[in-house]
Amino acid sequence: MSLRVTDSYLSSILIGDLNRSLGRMLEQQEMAGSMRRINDFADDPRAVSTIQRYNALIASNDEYLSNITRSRIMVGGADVALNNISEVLSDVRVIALRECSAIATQQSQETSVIEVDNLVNRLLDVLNTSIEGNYIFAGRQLKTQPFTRSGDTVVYQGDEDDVVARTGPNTTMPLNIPGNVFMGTQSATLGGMVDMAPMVDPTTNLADINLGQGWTPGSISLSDGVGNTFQVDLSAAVTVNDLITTVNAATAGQITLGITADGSGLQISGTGPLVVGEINGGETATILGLNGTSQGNSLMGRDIRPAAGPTTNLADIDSIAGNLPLGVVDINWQGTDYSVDFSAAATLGDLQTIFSGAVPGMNLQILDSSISIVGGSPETFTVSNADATNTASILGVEGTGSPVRLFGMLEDLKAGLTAGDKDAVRATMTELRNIEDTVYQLIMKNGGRQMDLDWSEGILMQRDERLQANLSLEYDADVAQVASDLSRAEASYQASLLVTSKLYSTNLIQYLS
Amino acid sequence: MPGLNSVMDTSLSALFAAQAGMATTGHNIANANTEGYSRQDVMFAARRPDILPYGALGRGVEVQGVRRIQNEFLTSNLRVQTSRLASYTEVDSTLYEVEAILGSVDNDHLGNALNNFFNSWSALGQPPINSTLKQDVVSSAISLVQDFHNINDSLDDMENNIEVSIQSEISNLNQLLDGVAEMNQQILSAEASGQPANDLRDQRDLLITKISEIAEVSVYEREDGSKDIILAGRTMVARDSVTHFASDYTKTSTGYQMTIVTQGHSQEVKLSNGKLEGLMTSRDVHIADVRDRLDALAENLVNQVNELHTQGRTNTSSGVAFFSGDSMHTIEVNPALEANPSMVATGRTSAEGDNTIALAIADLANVGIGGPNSQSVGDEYRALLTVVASKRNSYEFSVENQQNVVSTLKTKMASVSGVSLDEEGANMIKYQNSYNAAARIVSTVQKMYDTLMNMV
Repeated sequence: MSLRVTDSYLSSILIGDLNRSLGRMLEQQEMAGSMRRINDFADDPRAVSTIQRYNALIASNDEYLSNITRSRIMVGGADVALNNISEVLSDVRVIALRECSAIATQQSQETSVIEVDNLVNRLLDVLNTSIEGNYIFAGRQLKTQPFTRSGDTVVYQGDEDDVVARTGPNTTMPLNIPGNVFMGTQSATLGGMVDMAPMVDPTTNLADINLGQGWTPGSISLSDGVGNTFQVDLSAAVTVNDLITTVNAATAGQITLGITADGSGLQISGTGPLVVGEINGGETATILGLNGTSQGNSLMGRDIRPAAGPTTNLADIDSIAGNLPLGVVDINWQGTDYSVDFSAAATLGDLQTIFSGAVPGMNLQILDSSISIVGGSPETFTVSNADATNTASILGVEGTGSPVRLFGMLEDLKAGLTAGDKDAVRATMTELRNIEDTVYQLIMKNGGRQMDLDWSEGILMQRDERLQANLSLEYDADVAQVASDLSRAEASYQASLLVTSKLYSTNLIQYLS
Repeated sequence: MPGLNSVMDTSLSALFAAQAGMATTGHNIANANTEGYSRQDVMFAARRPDILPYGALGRGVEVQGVRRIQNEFLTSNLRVQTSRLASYTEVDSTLYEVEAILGSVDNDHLGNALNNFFNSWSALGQPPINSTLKQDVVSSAISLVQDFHNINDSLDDMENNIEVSIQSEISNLNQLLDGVAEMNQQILSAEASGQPANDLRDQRDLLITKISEIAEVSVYEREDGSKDIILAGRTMVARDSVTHFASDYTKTSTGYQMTIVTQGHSQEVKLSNGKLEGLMTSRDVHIADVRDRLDALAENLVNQVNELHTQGRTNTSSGVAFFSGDSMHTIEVNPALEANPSMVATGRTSAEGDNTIALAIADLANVGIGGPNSQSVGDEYRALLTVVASKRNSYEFSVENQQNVVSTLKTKMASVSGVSLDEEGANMIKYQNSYNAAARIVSTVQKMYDTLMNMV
């Protein structure tokens, strides 16, 4: 049976067509107006959660960037203060040198007492530096003035705790320097001066590189001077050897990845200039220390060594590797001499164990990239080489460990000057050097924090770019596509209108009339 | 041997038949745009012939009746599909409103408030510590609580509006049932003569189709031509007798809730499909689900923030809960903190630089208190958005699909029962020619009479 085409049948179909055309056009118009692929949650339920998560991550990323900006105020303030302390200590050294020299007179010594007293006040001003009402040397007692002076006595009223900032999704960073470090109440310490971070080798776990901060799995781009370009996915790599194998396989050996001669990082070789970059706003190349361009045939990556730890082999430490086995170190502490024989040590953990066994009450501490020797009391101690192996020097711990008695030392200096005792004045200079070293180390530590902030900011900015790019992929409309679809929808709607008007004006009744 | 009178009689039957056909064509054309109208068709049949010795001699045509052209299967199926469409449309409309209450991708009220709340903790915990930011934390918490309350109030309003709509639809349904009963009575009277009351039947069918928009309906046609209307297994119309629906309230754990009952009884009627079912499902399933999820989110937020904040202390306080309540309706910021924001704890000690609590609460935005793999408050909220978006997307699809089904059935109905002006035009010509031809026979018979008379 053939279909009866009635007027209501025609109008039903035509109205349906018109509605569909109009609906499509409105949908495209909404996209063109907002330039968004998704306007309502229901437009793409799968993408909703992703978009909102990106929005939340971008918001928290902005917050971390803002935290870094605020953190710089604290770290920058500490930097200025520490440099001021260093300057004051230089002035103290000039006075001490002058007053224990042959030109010193009683009058000059009396004048110097006043000068030192004024320097004490200057130091107090510096150590009581506050930023937005936060005392930067007060530990966590941020609103409490940390140093107060009563006569010749300076009292510290802060605590020993760090104030930390959140500088990334999983990272916090201490920002302050608790002022108790200057008060001589801590154990005497001798900080090691030799870099103990182990060299990178093929078995190095990628989670341990960058002093334990690890890496971000992802892809990198590689190109050389003869037009080869590669994109290498390193996501599955676990060790440095995995990286090397993956890159060398992906490039068929035209660009090769290896470890630098000094073991500090990675190295790309090939026909220069070599360019290593990120893909889709990633951060993998940067974190592997490779992001950059070489002029020649090799691109040397930056230092990405792991942190030192108890399991670190001495043979993996650049400065020790050629000096094994180690020898004997002499310690003098509390009037007793101790000999520590490190010849059987194979790891940093062995050094710790041997040291604790040989010198009860003292410790050898392993830091990220150095070691230090800590006495069990504020009394000074000495560390020296006991044999031709020069082990104390190799480990960077030859010298005197002492507490940092900033104001105590200045009072001793004043007392020496007042008494006209040049030997006493000279004696304070040893302690002054130790304090200067400590301040220098604090300046270095604080500088490291500034670098960490720079590093974190760079990572966060890259993260922001990546998040924005990913959000755009999910969220933004393809302008060209929308414009094209919109004009097609308009054409379709106009055609529907035209056909409708023609059909409604055509029937047999009209012909009969 | 038939006479001229017999021929005249035959011609007259043709004239009458052509007139009946023309009248029906006119009726069809007149009702071409009448909703629910089924085209009508005149049933012609040859009159019983005169049996003569040399054979049967035809006596013309007679009109046996006028019938309406309809397909009962299509009509019944259309009603079922119309009920489904109405149900889906109501749910879709509800989910659209729920989505609007939650915001849009660009302006996600509660999501933004959650982000602001957690970011305010992050800012408070950031050295240099600025204690005045405690006021920001309290303000952002109040704003977040207000958002929860606003959503709760909006969902309450939606539920109230749905109940108003349910009452309105019950009233509409009762009127339509009355209409069917009235039409039954009129049809019974009109068809007493034995001829079908086509136009009345069309009007009754239209009323039943309108009932199907409100609730899925079953129809039983009696031999006398009346139709019984059966809803949710209950006969609501039997000939001219009607049972009405009414609304009633039953007690629930949270208060009273409107239900549908038959008048005079309190037992709840569960209608299937149609607007009423869509409205009830919207209220009892979809809004309830969103409410449950938001209540759980609010409770989780309260518990997680309090778990941490009660570990904190300030110079003047310790162990203070930050929020109270266990749902989006009851969640409140601790009034003591509103009055004195300095009681907001940033750390586990009273040291101003102890920001461990502030940072831990800020972390709740992305990490659950149960550890890295537990669901964060933000994750819970995003899961809720995804559920609402998926449901709405699914119902949008169902509505669109069902519209196509209904449209197809209506198109088929229009093909069977609709009036075609072309067809009616052709019929008009056909009946006109038929009339002209019959009139010509009458004229010829007249001439024959004249010839005969002139012979006398």
